[in-house]
Amino acid sequence: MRIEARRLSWGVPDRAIVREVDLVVEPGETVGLIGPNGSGKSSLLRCLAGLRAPTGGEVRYDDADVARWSARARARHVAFVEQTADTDSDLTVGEVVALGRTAHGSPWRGPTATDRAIVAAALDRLDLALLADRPWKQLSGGERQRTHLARALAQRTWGLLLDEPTNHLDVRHQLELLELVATTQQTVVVALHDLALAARYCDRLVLLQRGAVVADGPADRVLTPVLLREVFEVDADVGRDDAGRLAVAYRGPAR
Amino acid sequence: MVVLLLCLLVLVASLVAAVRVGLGGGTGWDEIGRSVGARLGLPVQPLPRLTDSLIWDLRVPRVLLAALVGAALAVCGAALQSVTRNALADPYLLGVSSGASTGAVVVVLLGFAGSQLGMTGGAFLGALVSLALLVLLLRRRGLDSVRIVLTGVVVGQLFTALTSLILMSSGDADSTRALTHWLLGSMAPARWQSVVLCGISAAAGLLVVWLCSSALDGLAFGADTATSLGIDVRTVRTVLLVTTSLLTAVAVAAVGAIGFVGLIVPHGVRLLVGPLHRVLLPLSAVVGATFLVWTDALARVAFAPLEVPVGVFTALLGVPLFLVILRKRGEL
Repeated sequence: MRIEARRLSWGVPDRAIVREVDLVVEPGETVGLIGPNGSGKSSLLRCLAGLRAPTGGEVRYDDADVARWSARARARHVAFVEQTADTDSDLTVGEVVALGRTAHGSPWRGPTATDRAIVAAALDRLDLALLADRPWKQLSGGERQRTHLARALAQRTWGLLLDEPTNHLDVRHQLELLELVATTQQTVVVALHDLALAARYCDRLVLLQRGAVVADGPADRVLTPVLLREVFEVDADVGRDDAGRLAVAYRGPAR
Repeated sequence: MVVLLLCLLVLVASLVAAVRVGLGGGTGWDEIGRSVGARLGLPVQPLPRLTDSLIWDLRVPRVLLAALVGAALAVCGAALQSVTRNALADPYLLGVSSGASTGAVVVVLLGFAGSQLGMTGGAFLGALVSLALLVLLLRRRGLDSVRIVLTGVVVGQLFTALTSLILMSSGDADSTRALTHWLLGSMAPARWQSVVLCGISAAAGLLVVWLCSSALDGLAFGADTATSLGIDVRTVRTVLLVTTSLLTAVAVAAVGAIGFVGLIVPHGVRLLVGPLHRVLLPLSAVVGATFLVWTDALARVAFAPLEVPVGVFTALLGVPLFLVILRKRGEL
Protein backbone atom coordinates (compact mmCIF):
# COMPACT_ATOMS: atom_id res chain seq x y z
CA MET A 1 0.00 0.00 0.00
CA ARG A 2 1.15 3.49 -0.83
CA ILE A 3 1.09 6.09 1.96
CA GLU A 4 0.99 9.71 0.96
CA ALA A 5 0.85 13.10 2.65
CA ARG A 6 -0.21 16.08 0.54
CA ARG A 7 0.62 19.53 1.89
CA LEU A 8 -0.13 18.07 5.30
CA SER A 9 -0.25 20.49 8.23
CA TRP A 10 -1.16 19.98 11.85
CA GLY A 11 -0.75 22.03 14.99
CA VAL A 12 -2.18 23.30 18.22
CA PRO A 13 -4.07 26.64 18.15
CA ASP A 14 -1.11 29.02 18.15
CA ARG A 15 1.67 26.74 16.98
CA ALA A 16 2.15 24.80 13.74
CA ILE A 17 3.91 21.51 14.43
CA VAL A 18 3.70 19.85 11.03
CA ARG A 19 4.07 22.29 8.12
CA GLU A 20 2.91 21.50 4.59
CA VAL A 21 4.61 18.12 4.38
CA ASP A 22 4.62 16.36 1.02
CA LEU A 23 5.65 12.75 1.33
CA VAL A 24 5.14 9.64 -0.77
CA VAL A 25 6.02 6.19 0.52
CA GLU A 26 5.76 3.55 -2.21
CA PRO A 27 4.43 0.03 -1.46
CA GLY A 28 7.02 -2.04 0.40
CA GLU A 29 9.37 0.89 0.88
CA THR A 30 11.01 1.64 4.25
CA VAL A 31 11.35 5.35 4.91
CA GLY A 32 13.32 6.68 7.88
CA LEU A 33 12.10 9.86 9.52
CA ILE A 34 14.94 11.79 11.11
CA GLY A 35 15.25 15.16 12.76
CA PRO A 36 16.13 16.70 16.12
CA ASN A 37 13.83 16.67 19.15
CA GLY A 38 10.67 18.66 18.50
CA SER A 39 11.02 18.55 14.73
CA GLY A 40 7.57 17.00 14.40
CA LYS A 41 8.41 13.34 13.72
CA SER A 42 5.90 11.96 16.24
CA SER A 43 3.18 14.37 15.16
CA LEU A 44 3.72 13.54 11.49
CA LEU A 45 3.47 9.82 12.28
CA ARG A 46 0.26 10.41 14.25
CA CYS A 47 -1.22 12.29 11.30
CA LEU A 48 -0.19 9.51 8.92
CA ALA A 49 -1.87 7.00 11.26
CA GLY A 50 -5.05 9.08 11.24
CA LEU A 51 -4.84 9.78 14.98
CA ARG A 52 -4.77 13.55 14.41
CA ALA A 53 -7.07 15.29 11.96
CA PRO A 54 -4.91 17.47 9.68
CA THR A 55 -5.47 21.21 9.94
CA GLY A 56 -4.47 21.42 6.31
CA GLY A 57 -3.84 19.03 3.44
CA GLU A 58 -4.60 15.32 3.55
CA VAL A 59 -3.32 11.80 4.15
CA ARG A 60 -4.00 9.19 1.49
CA TYR A 61 -3.66 5.41 1.54
CA ASP A 62 -3.56 4.12 -2.04
CA ASP A 63 -5.21 7.31 -3.29
CA ALA A 64 -8.07 7.27 -0.76
CA ASP A 65 -8.39 10.20 1.63
CA VAL A 66 -8.48 8.60 5.08
CA ALA A 67 -10.02 11.56 6.91
CA ARG A 68 -13.48 10.05 6.78
CA TRP A 69 -12.44 6.46 7.44
CA SER A 70 -13.50 4.78 10.64
CA ALA A 71 -10.82 3.92 13.19
CA ARG A 72 -11.50 0.27 12.43
CA ALA A 73 -10.95 0.68 8.69
CA ARG A 74 -7.68 2.54 9.28
CA ALA A 75 -6.52 -0.08 11.78
CA ARG A 76 -6.91 -2.72 9.09
CA HIS A 77 -4.57 -0.76 6.81
CA VAL A 78 -1.87 0.63 9.09
CA ALA A 79 -0.52 -0.25 12.51
CA PHE A 80 1.13 2.32 14.75
CA VAL A 81 3.60 1.94 17.60
CA GLU A 82 3.88 4.87 20.00
CA GLN A 83 7.17 5.85 21.56
CA THR A 84 6.08 5.02 25.08
CA ALA A 85 2.74 3.35 25.59
CA ASP A 86 2.48 2.14 29.15
CA THR A 87 -0.30 0.67 31.24
CA ASP A 88 -1.22 -0.05 34.84
CA SER A 89 -3.13 -3.08 33.71
CA ASP A 90 -1.84 -6.57 34.41
CA LEU A 91 -2.04 -7.76 30.80
CA THR A 92 0.44 -10.44 29.78
CA VAL A 93 2.68 -10.21 26.72
CA GLY A 94 0.40 -12.59 24.83
CA GLU A 95 -2.69 -10.57 25.74
CA VAL A 96 -1.09 -7.31 24.60
CA VAL A 97 -0.11 -8.85 21.26
CA ALA A 98 -3.67 -10.17 20.90
CA LEU A 99 -4.93 -6.57 21.12
CA GLY A 100 -3.61 -6.31 17.57
CA ARG A 101 -6.57 -8.44 16.48
CA THR A 102 -9.14 -5.92 17.82
CA ALA A 103 -10.03 -4.50 14.42
CA HIS A 104 -10.55 -7.99 13.01
CA GLY A 105 -12.86 -9.28 15.75
CA SER A 106 -16.57 -9.08 16.44
CA PRO A 107 -18.04 -7.98 19.77
CA TRP A 108 -20.02 -11.22 19.99
CA ARG A 109 -17.22 -13.73 19.90
CA GLY A 110 -13.77 -14.09 21.35
CA PRO A 111 -10.52 -14.75 19.50
CA THR A 112 -10.71 -17.34 16.71
CA ALA A 113 -8.16 -20.05 15.87
CA THR A 114 -6.83 -17.77 13.11
CA ASP A 115 -6.35 -14.95 15.62
CA ARG A 116 -4.45 -17.26 17.94
CA ALA A 117 -2.20 -18.49 15.13
CA ILE A 118 -1.42 -14.93 14.02
CA VAL A 119 -0.61 -13.88 17.59
CA ALA A 120 1.66 -16.91 18.05
CA ALA A 121 3.48 -16.09 14.81
CA ALA A 122 3.98 -12.46 15.85
CA LEU A 123 5.34 -13.56 19.23
CA ASP A 124 7.76 -15.93 17.48
CA ARG A 125 8.89 -13.28 15.07
CA LEU A 126 9.99 -10.99 17.93
CA ASP A 127 11.48 -13.72 20.05
CA LEU A 128 8.77 -13.37 22.68
CA ALA A 129 7.21 -16.84 22.65
CA LEU A 130 8.79 -17.74 25.98
CA LEU A 131 7.58 -14.52 27.57
CA ALA A 132 3.97 -14.89 26.39
CA ASP A 133 2.56 -15.36 29.90
CA ARG A 134 4.69 -12.73 31.59
CA PRO A 135 2.79 -9.75 33.03
CA TRP A 136 3.49 -6.31 31.55
CA LYS A 137 4.84 -4.92 34.85
CA GLN A 138 7.67 -7.45 34.91
CA LEU A 139 8.97 -6.55 31.45
CA SER A 140 12.06 -4.50 30.72
CA GLY A 141 11.78 -1.43 28.50
CA GLY A 142 13.12 -3.37 25.54
CA GLU A 143 10.71 -6.26 26.05
CA ARG A 144 7.82 -3.81 26.17
CA GLN A 145 8.96 -2.22 22.92
CA ARG A 146 9.19 -5.61 21.23
CA THR A 147 5.77 -6.55 22.58
CA HIS A 148 4.26 -3.44 21.00
CA LEU A 149 5.91 -4.24 17.68
CA ALA A 150 4.61 -7.83 17.83
CA ARG A 151 1.15 -6.38 18.54
CA ALA A 152 1.49 -4.14 15.47
CA LEU A 153 2.53 -7.13 13.33
CA ALA A 154 -0.46 -9.11 14.63
CA GLN A 155 -2.63 -6.37 13.18
CA ARG A 156 -1.62 -7.75 9.72
CA THR A 157 -1.65 -4.39 7.98
CA TRP A 158 -0.23 -3.06 4.73
CA GLY A 159 1.51 -0.19 6.48
CA LEU A 160 3.57 0.12 9.63
CA LEU A 161 4.24 3.44 11.40
CA LEU A 162 6.87 3.25 14.14
CA ASP A 163 7.92 6.01 16.51
CA GLU A 164 11.49 5.34 17.63
CA PRO A 165 11.00 1.60 18.02
CA THR A 166 14.66 1.03 18.94
CA ASN A 167 14.44 3.05 22.16
CA HIS A 168 15.37 0.95 25.19
CA LEU A 169 16.64 -1.90 23.02
CA ASP A 170 20.11 -3.35 23.40
CA VAL A 171 22.30 -3.33 20.28
CA ARG A 172 21.43 -6.85 19.20
CA HIS A 173 17.71 -6.29 19.46
CA GLN A 174 18.03 -2.91 17.70
CA LEU A 175 19.68 -4.61 14.74
CA GLU A 176 17.22 -7.50 14.72
CA LEU A 177 14.25 -5.16 14.86
CA LEU A 178 15.53 -2.94 12.06
CA GLU A 179 16.37 -5.98 9.94
CA LEU A 180 12.80 -7.15 10.40
CA VAL A 181 11.49 -3.71 9.50
CA ALA A 182 13.73 -3.49 6.42
CA THR A 183 12.83 -6.91 5.07
CA THR A 184 9.08 -6.86 5.66
CA GLN A 185 6.81 -6.49 2.65
CA GLN A 186 4.90 -3.78 4.52
CA THR A 187 5.19 -0.08 3.73
CA VAL A 188 7.11 1.34 6.67
CA VAL A 189 7.67 4.84 8.03
CA VAL A 190 9.98 4.74 11.02
CA ALA A 191 11.23 7.61 13.16
CA LEU A 192 14.81 7.00 14.27
CA HIS A 193 17.39 8.85 16.33
CA ASP A 194 20.45 6.85 15.32
CA LEU A 195 21.47 8.28 11.95
CA ALA A 196 23.88 5.50 11.02
CA LEU A 197 21.25 2.82 11.68
CA ALA A 198 18.68 4.87 9.77
CA ALA A 199 21.06 5.11 6.82
CA ARG A 200 21.79 1.43 6.90
CA TYR A 201 18.28 -0.01 7.13
CA CYS A 202 16.04 2.49 5.36
CA ASP A 203 15.54 2.76 1.60
CA ARG A 204 15.18 6.49 1.94
CA LEU A 205 15.52 9.16 4.60
CA VAL A 206 13.28 12.17 5.22
CA LEU A 207 14.81 14.95 7.28
CA LEU A 208 12.48 17.17 9.29
CA GLN A 209 13.22 20.56 10.77
CA ARG A 210 10.57 22.55 12.68
CA GLY A 211 7.81 20.46 11.15
CA ALA A 212 8.88 20.84 7.53
CA VAL A 213 10.74 18.47 5.20
CA VAL A 214 14.20 19.85 4.44
CA ALA A 215 15.62 16.82 2.63
CA ASP A 216 14.18 13.64 1.15
CA GLY A 217 16.22 11.01 -0.64
CA PRO A 218 18.88 8.31 -0.35
CA ALA A 219 20.92 8.41 2.85
CA ASP A 220 24.10 9.79 1.28
CA ARG A 221 22.22 12.78 -0.05
CA VAL A 222 20.40 13.54 3.21
CA LEU A 223 23.19 12.92 5.69
CA THR A 224 25.64 15.56 4.48
CA PRO A 225 27.89 17.53 6.85
CA VAL A 226 26.17 20.72 5.72
CA LEU A 227 22.65 19.48 6.51
CA LEU A 228 23.75 17.85 9.76
CA ARG A 229 25.24 21.15 10.85
CA GLU A 230 22.23 23.14 9.83
CA VAL A 231 19.51 20.85 11.21
CA PHE A 232 21.11 18.95 14.09
CA GLU A 233 23.65 21.65 14.98
CA VAL A 234 26.52 19.20 15.08
CA ASP A 235 29.86 19.03 13.29
CA ALA A 236 30.20 15.59 11.77
CA ASP A 237 32.21 13.66 9.21
CA VAL A 238 30.27 11.43 6.89
CA GLY A 239 32.15 8.67 5.12
CA ARG A 240 31.99 5.03 4.18
CA ASP A 241 33.50 2.13 6.08
CA ASP A 242 35.37 -0.78 4.46
CA ALA A 243 32.13 -2.56 3.63
CA GLY A 244 30.78 0.56 1.95
CA ARG A 245 28.29 1.39 4.68
CA LEU A 246 27.61 5.02 5.46
CA ALA A 247 29.30 6.09 8.71
CA VAL A 248 28.65 9.25 10.69
CA ALA A 249 31.37 10.40 13.09
CA TYR A 250 30.49 13.35 15.30
CA ARG A 251 33.17 15.91 16.08
CA GLY A 252 30.99 17.78 18.56
CA PRO A 253 28.21 20.33 18.84
CA ALA A 254 28.44 22.94 16.12
CA ARG A 255 30.33 26.05 17.15
CA MET B 1 -15.79 -20.85 31.90
CA VAL B 2 -15.53 -23.38 34.71
CA VAL B 3 -14.86 -20.57 37.18
CA LEU B 4 -17.90 -18.68 35.92
CA LEU B 5 -20.19 -21.70 36.26
CA LEU B 6 -18.84 -22.40 39.71
CA CYS B 7 -19.44 -18.83 40.80
CA LEU B 8 -22.97 -18.95 39.34
CA LEU B 9 -23.70 -22.02 41.46
CA VAL B 10 -22.40 -20.25 44.54
CA LEU B 11 -24.62 -17.28 43.68
CA VAL B 12 -27.77 -19.39 43.40
CA ALA B 13 -27.00 -21.15 46.67
CA SER B 14 -26.32 -17.76 48.29
CA LEU B 15 -29.63 -16.37 47.07
CA VAL B 16 -31.54 -19.19 48.71
CA ALA B 17 -29.48 -19.15 51.89
CA ALA B 18 -29.74 -15.38 52.24
CA VAL B 19 -33.54 -15.54 52.17
CA ARG B 20 -33.29 -17.80 55.22
CA VAL B 21 -30.78 -15.63 57.12
CA GLY B 22 -32.42 -13.73 59.95
CA LEU B 23 -35.94 -14.99 59.34
CA GLY B 24 -36.11 -16.50 62.83
CA GLY B 25 -39.30 -17.07 64.78
CA GLY B 26 -39.71 -20.68 63.70
CA THR B 27 -39.59 -19.80 60.05
CA GLY B 28 -37.18 -21.98 58.09
CA TRP B 29 -36.49 -23.81 54.85
CA ASP B 30 -39.89 -25.44 54.89
CA GLU B 31 -41.73 -22.11 54.94
CA ILE B 32 -39.54 -20.63 52.23
CA GLY B 33 -40.18 -23.68 50.08
CA ARG B 34 -43.91 -23.42 50.60
CA SER B 35 -44.03 -19.68 49.90
CA VAL B 36 -42.03 -19.90 46.67
CA GLY B 37 -43.62 -23.22 45.73
CA ALA B 38 -47.12 -21.78 45.97
CA ARG B 39 -46.09 -19.00 43.54
CA LEU B 40 -44.76 -21.57 41.10
CA GLY B 41 -48.08 -23.42 41.24
CA LEU B 42 -46.76 -26.44 43.14
CA PRO B 43 -49.22 -28.39 45.30
CA VAL B 44 -47.96 -27.18 48.70
CA GLN B 45 -49.82 -26.29 51.84
CA PRO B 46 -50.25 -22.51 51.83
CA LEU B 47 -48.59 -20.45 54.59
CA PRO B 48 -50.29 -18.11 57.00
CA ARG B 49 -50.73 -14.81 55.27
CA LEU B 50 -48.27 -12.83 57.41
CA THR B 51 -45.38 -15.30 57.11
CA ASP B 52 -45.98 -15.67 53.40
CA SER B 53 -45.94 -11.93 52.93
CA LEU B 54 -42.77 -11.61 54.97
CA ILE B 55 -41.00 -14.09 52.72
CA TRP B 56 -42.49 -13.34 49.33
CA ASP B 57 -43.10 -9.59 49.52
CA LEU B 58 -40.12 -8.52 51.61
CA ARG B 59 -37.37 -11.08 51.80
CA VAL B 60 -37.29 -12.58 48.30
CA PRO B 61 -37.32 -9.23 46.43
CA ARG B 62 -34.72 -7.89 48.85
CA VAL B 63 -32.29 -10.69 48.14
CA LEU B 64 -32.88 -10.54 44.39
CA LEU B 65 -32.44 -6.77 44.38
CA ALA B 66 -29.21 -7.07 46.34
CA ALA B 67 -27.94 -9.48 43.68
CA LEU B 68 -28.94 -7.19 40.80
CA VAL B 69 -27.52 -4.06 42.38
CA GLY B 70 -24.30 -5.87 43.32
CA ALA B 71 -23.88 -7.09 39.76
CA ALA B 72 -24.59 -3.67 38.26
CA LEU B 73 -22.24 -1.77 40.57
CA ALA B 74 -19.40 -4.27 40.13
CA VAL B 75 -19.64 -4.06 36.34
CA CYS B 76 -19.82 -0.25 36.49
CA GLY B 77 -16.63 -0.23 38.55
CA ALA B 78 -14.79 -2.52 36.13
CA ALA B 79 -15.89 -0.47 33.11
CA LEU B 80 -15.08 2.91 34.71
CA GLN B 81 -11.64 1.67 35.79
CA SER B 82 -10.82 0.91 32.18
CA VAL B 83 -12.42 4.01 30.63
CA THR B 84 -10.68 6.39 33.04
CA ARG B 85 -7.50 4.24 33.14
CA ASN B 86 -7.74 4.52 36.88
CA ALA B 87 -7.70 1.60 39.29
CA LEU B 88 -9.63 3.62 41.87
CA ALA B 89 -12.66 4.46 39.71
CA ASP B 90 -16.02 3.44 41.14
CA PRO B 91 -19.46 5.04 40.68
CA TYR B 92 -19.48 6.05 44.35
CA LEU B 93 -15.95 7.48 44.49
CA LEU B 94 -16.48 9.44 41.27
CA GLY B 95 -19.57 11.10 42.75
CA VAL B 96 -21.96 9.54 40.23
CA SER B 97 -23.93 7.76 42.96
CA SER B 98 -24.32 11.00 44.90
CA GLY B 99 -25.52 12.79 41.79
CA ALA B 100 -28.05 10.01 41.25
CA SER B 101 -29.21 10.34 44.86
CA THR B 102 -29.82 14.04 44.43
CA GLY B 103 -31.75 13.44 41.23
CA ALA B 104 -33.94 10.81 42.86
CA VAL B 105 -34.58 12.98 45.92
CA VAL B 106 -35.64 15.91 43.75
CA VAL B 107 -38.17 13.68 42.02
CA VAL B 108 -39.46 12.48 45.41
CA LEU B 109 -39.85 16.07 46.49
CA LEU B 110 -41.80 16.89 43.35
CA GLY B 111 -44.33 14.35 44.51
CA PHE B 112 -43.53 11.21 42.55
CA ALA B 113 -42.32 9.23 45.57
CA GLY B 114 -44.27 6.15 44.59
CA SER B 115 -43.02 5.94 41.04
CA GLN B 116 -39.92 3.79 40.70
CA LEU B 117 -39.63 4.79 37.05
CA GLY B 118 -39.84 8.49 37.93
CA MET B 119 -37.19 8.17 40.61
CA THR B 120 -34.95 6.19 38.27
CA GLY B 121 -35.34 8.87 35.61
CA GLY B 122 -34.44 11.55 38.15
CA ALA B 123 -31.48 9.52 39.37
CA PHE B 124 -30.29 9.04 35.77
CA LEU B 125 -30.41 12.79 35.14
CA GLY B 126 -28.60 13.41 38.43
CA ALA B 127 -25.93 10.85 37.53
CA LEU B 128 -25.40 12.43 34.10
CA VAL B 129 -25.17 15.93 35.59
CA SER B 130 -22.56 14.86 38.15
CA LEU B 131 -20.60 13.00 35.49
CA ALA B 132 -20.72 16.01 33.17
CA LEU B 133 -19.45 18.18 36.03
CA LEU B 134 -16.63 15.70 36.66
CA VAL B 135 -15.62 15.63 32.99
CA LEU B 136 -15.76 19.43 32.87
CA LEU B 137 -13.52 19.75 35.94
CA LEU B 138 -11.02 17.22 34.56
CA ARG B 139 -10.92 18.72 31.08
CA ARG B 140 -7.44 19.51 29.76
CA ARG B 141 -5.86 17.81 32.75
CA GLY B 142 -4.52 14.30 32.47
CA LEU B 143 -6.44 11.48 34.04
CA ASP B 144 -3.97 11.26 36.89
CA SER B 145 -5.53 8.81 39.31
CA VAL B 146 -5.32 10.85 42.50
CA ARG B 147 -6.67 13.95 40.78
CA ILE B 148 -9.61 12.09 39.27
CA VAL B 149 -10.59 10.56 42.60
CA LEU B 150 -10.14 13.84 44.46
CA THR B 151 -12.31 15.61 41.92
CA GLY B 152 -14.85 12.80 42.13
CA VAL B 153 -14.96 13.00 45.92
CA VAL B 154 -15.47 16.76 45.75
CA VAL B 155 -18.29 16.38 43.21
CA GLY B 156 -19.77 13.65 45.43
CA GLN B 157 -19.62 15.91 48.48
CA LEU B 158 -21.40 18.66 46.61
CA PHE B 159 -24.27 16.38 45.64
CA THR B 160 -24.42 14.80 49.10
CA ALA B 161 -24.79 18.28 50.57
CA LEU B 162 -27.52 19.08 48.04
CA THR B 163 -29.36 15.86 48.91
CA SER B 164 -29.20 16.67 52.64
CA LEU B 165 -30.34 20.21 52.04
CA ILE B 166 -33.30 19.15 49.91
CA LEU B 167 -34.43 16.45 52.33
CA MET B 168 -34.03 18.58 55.44
CA SER B 169 -35.76 21.60 53.95
CA SER B 170 -38.71 19.48 52.94
CA GLY B 171 -39.46 19.35 56.66
CA ASP B 172 -40.94 15.88 56.41
CA ALA B 173 -41.05 13.82 59.60
CA ASP B 174 -39.44 10.90 57.77
CA SER B 175 -36.72 13.01 56.25
CA THR B 176 -33.92 11.92 58.58
CA ARG B 177 -34.64 8.28 57.93
CA ALA B 178 -34.84 8.97 54.22
CA LEU B 179 -31.50 10.75 54.40
CA THR B 180 -29.74 7.70 55.82
CA HIS B 181 -31.27 5.65 53.09
CA TRP B 182 -30.13 7.83 50.19
CA LEU B 183 -26.69 8.58 51.53
CA LEU B 184 -25.69 5.19 52.90
CA GLY B 185 -27.75 2.82 50.86
CA SER B 186 -30.12 0.32 52.36
CA MET B 187 -31.91 -2.69 50.97
CA ALA B 188 -34.86 -2.29 53.35
CA PRO B 189 -37.25 -0.64 50.87
CA ALA B 190 -36.78 -3.40 48.26
CA ARG B 191 -40.03 -4.37 46.53
CA TRP B 192 -40.91 -6.38 43.46
CA GLN B 193 -41.43 -3.25 41.39
CA SER B 194 -37.78 -2.25 41.74
CA VAL B 195 -36.63 -5.84 41.19
CA VAL B 196 -38.32 -5.90 37.79
CA LEU B 197 -37.01 -2.49 36.74
CA CYS B 198 -33.52 -3.26 38.01
CA GLY B 199 -33.54 -6.67 36.36
CA ILE B 200 -34.41 -5.33 32.93
CA SER B 201 -31.96 -2.44 33.00
CA ALA B 202 -29.16 -4.46 34.56
CA ALA B 203 -29.51 -7.13 31.87
CA ALA B 204 -29.49 -4.54 29.08
CA GLY B 205 -26.67 -2.49 30.62
CA LEU B 206 -24.46 -5.47 31.30
CA LEU B 207 -24.91 -6.67 27.72
CA VAL B 208 -23.91 -3.27 26.32
CA VAL B 209 -20.82 -3.10 28.53
CA TRP B 210 -19.88 -6.69 27.72
CA LEU B 211 -20.11 -5.98 23.99
CA CYS B 212 -17.48 -3.28 24.54
CA SER B 213 -15.09 -5.84 26.10
CA SER B 214 -12.37 -5.70 23.48
CA ALA B 215 -12.50 -1.89 23.40
CA LEU B 216 -12.12 -1.85 27.18
CA ASP B 217 -9.05 -4.07 26.83
CA GLY B 218 -7.62 -1.87 24.09
CA LEU B 219 -7.96 1.29 26.18
CA ALA B 220 -5.26 -0.03 28.52
CA PHE B 221 -2.52 1.79 26.60
CA GLY B 222 -4.32 5.09 26.22
CA ALA B 223 -6.42 6.78 23.57
CA ASP B 224 -3.83 6.92 20.74
CA THR B 225 -2.88 3.27 20.84
CA ALA B 226 -6.56 2.34 21.26
CA THR B 227 -7.51 4.38 18.18
CA SER B 228 -4.69 2.81 16.18
CA LEU B 229 -6.10 -0.60 17.17
CA GLY B 230 -9.37 0.35 15.50
CA ILE B 231 -11.35 1.51 18.53
CA ASP B 232 -13.56 4.57 18.14
CA VAL B 233 -12.46 5.92 21.51
CA ARG B 234 -14.86 8.85 21.73
CA THR B 235 -17.93 6.74 20.94
CA VAL B 236 -16.89 3.94 23.28
CA ARG B 237 -16.28 6.39 26.12
CA THR B 238 -19.64 8.09 25.62
CA VAL B 239 -21.55 4.80 25.38
CA LEU B 240 -19.87 3.44 28.49
CA LEU B 241 -20.22 6.59 30.57
CA VAL B 242 -23.92 6.83 29.73
CA THR B 243 -24.50 3.11 30.34
CA THR B 244 -22.69 3.11 33.68
CA SER B 245 -24.62 6.23 34.69
CA LEU B 246 -27.85 4.47 33.85
CA LEU B 247 -26.88 1.32 35.77
CA THR B 248 -25.78 3.38 38.77
CA ALA B 249 -28.99 5.42 38.60
CA VAL B 250 -31.22 2.36 38.59
CA ALA B 251 -29.36 0.94 41.56
CA VAL B 252 -29.40 4.22 43.49
CA ALA B 253 -33.08 4.87 42.81
CA ALA B 254 -33.88 1.46 44.26
CA VAL B 255 -31.56 1.25 47.25
CA GLY B 256 -29.59 4.51 47.62
CA ALA B 257 -25.88 5.11 47.21
CA ILE B 258 -23.95 1.97 48.14
CA GLY B 259 -20.22 2.54 47.83
CA PHE B 260 -17.12 0.53 47.07
CA VAL B 261 -18.76 -2.55 45.48
CA GLY B 262 -17.35 -1.41 42.12
CA LEU B 263 -13.92 -1.11 43.69
CA ILE B 264 -13.76 -4.30 45.73
CA VAL B 265 -15.24 -6.81 43.31
CA PRO B 266 -13.35 -6.14 40.04
CA HIS B 267 -10.04 -6.01 41.88
CA GLY B 268 -10.69 -9.36 43.49
CA VAL B 269 -11.88 -10.92 40.24
CA ARG B 270 -8.82 -9.63 38.31
CA LEU B 271 -6.58 -11.51 40.73
CA LEU B 272 -8.55 -14.62 39.86
CA VAL B 273 -8.91 -14.46 36.06
CA GLY B 274 -6.75 -11.58 34.81
CA PRO B 275 -7.69 -8.27 33.23
CA LEU B 276 -9.41 -9.31 29.97
CA HIS B 277 -12.92 -7.87 30.06
CA ARG B 278 -14.65 -10.62 28.09
CA VAL B 279 -14.19 -12.81 31.17
CA LEU B 280 -13.73 -10.15 33.84
CA LEU B 281 -17.14 -8.50 33.29
CA PRO B 282 -19.47 -11.50 33.58
CA LEU B 283 -17.52 -12.87 36.51
CA SER B 284 -17.55 -9.47 38.25
CA ALA B 285 -21.32 -9.41 37.80
CA VAL B 286 -21.76 -12.81 39.43
CA VAL B 287 -19.27 -12.16 42.23
CA GLY B 288 -20.70 -8.67 42.82
CA ALA B 289 -24.18 -10.16 43.14
CA THR B 290 -23.02 -12.77 45.64
CA PHE B 291 -21.00 -10.17 47.54
CA LEU B 292 -23.88 -7.77 48.04
CA VAL B 293 -26.34 -10.55 48.92
CA TRP B 294 -24.07 -11.63 51.76
CA THR B 295 -23.13 -8.12 52.88
CA ASP B 296 -26.82 -7.27 53.08
CA ALA B 297 -27.57 -10.45 55.04
CA LEU B 298 -24.79 -9.44 57.42
CA ALA B 299 -26.18 -5.92 57.71
CA ARG B 300 -29.56 -7.39 58.60
CA VAL B 301 -28.43 -9.70 61.39
CA ALA B 302 -25.16 -8.29 62.74
CA PHE B 303 -26.85 -5.92 65.17
CA ALA B 304 -30.36 -7.40 65.15
CA PRO B 305 -32.97 -6.22 65.78
CA LEU B 306 -31.33 -3.01 64.63
CA GLU B 307 -30.69 -3.00 60.89
CA VAL B 308 -27.49 -1.36 59.68
CA PRO B 309 -27.56 0.21 56.18
CA VAL B 310 -25.61 -2.12 53.91
CA GLY B 311 -23.51 0.80 52.62
CA VAL B 312 -21.86 0.99 56.04
CA PHE B 313 -20.52 -2.53 55.64
CA THR B 314 -19.38 -2.11 52.03
CA ALA B 315 -17.50 1.03 53.12
CA LEU B 316 -15.89 -0.80 56.03
CA LEU B 317 -14.60 -3.39 53.57
CA GLY B 318 -13.84 -0.94 50.77
CA VAL B 319 -11.83 1.72 52.55
CA PRO B 320 -8.92 -0.55 53.55
CA LEU B 321 -8.76 -1.92 50.01
CA PHE B 322 -8.73 1.62 48.64
CA LEU B 323 -5.71 2.38 50.83
CA VAL B 324 -3.96 -0.82 49.74
CA ILE B 325 -4.38 0.09 46.07
CA LEU B 326 -3.12 3.63 46.65
CA ARG B 327 -0.13 2.32 48.53
CA LYS B 328 0.67 -0.27 45.89
CA ARG B 329 0.74 2.48 43.29
CA GLY B 330 3.09 4.50 45.48
CA GLU B 331 0.70 7.39 45.85
CA LEU B 332 0.31 7.32 49.61
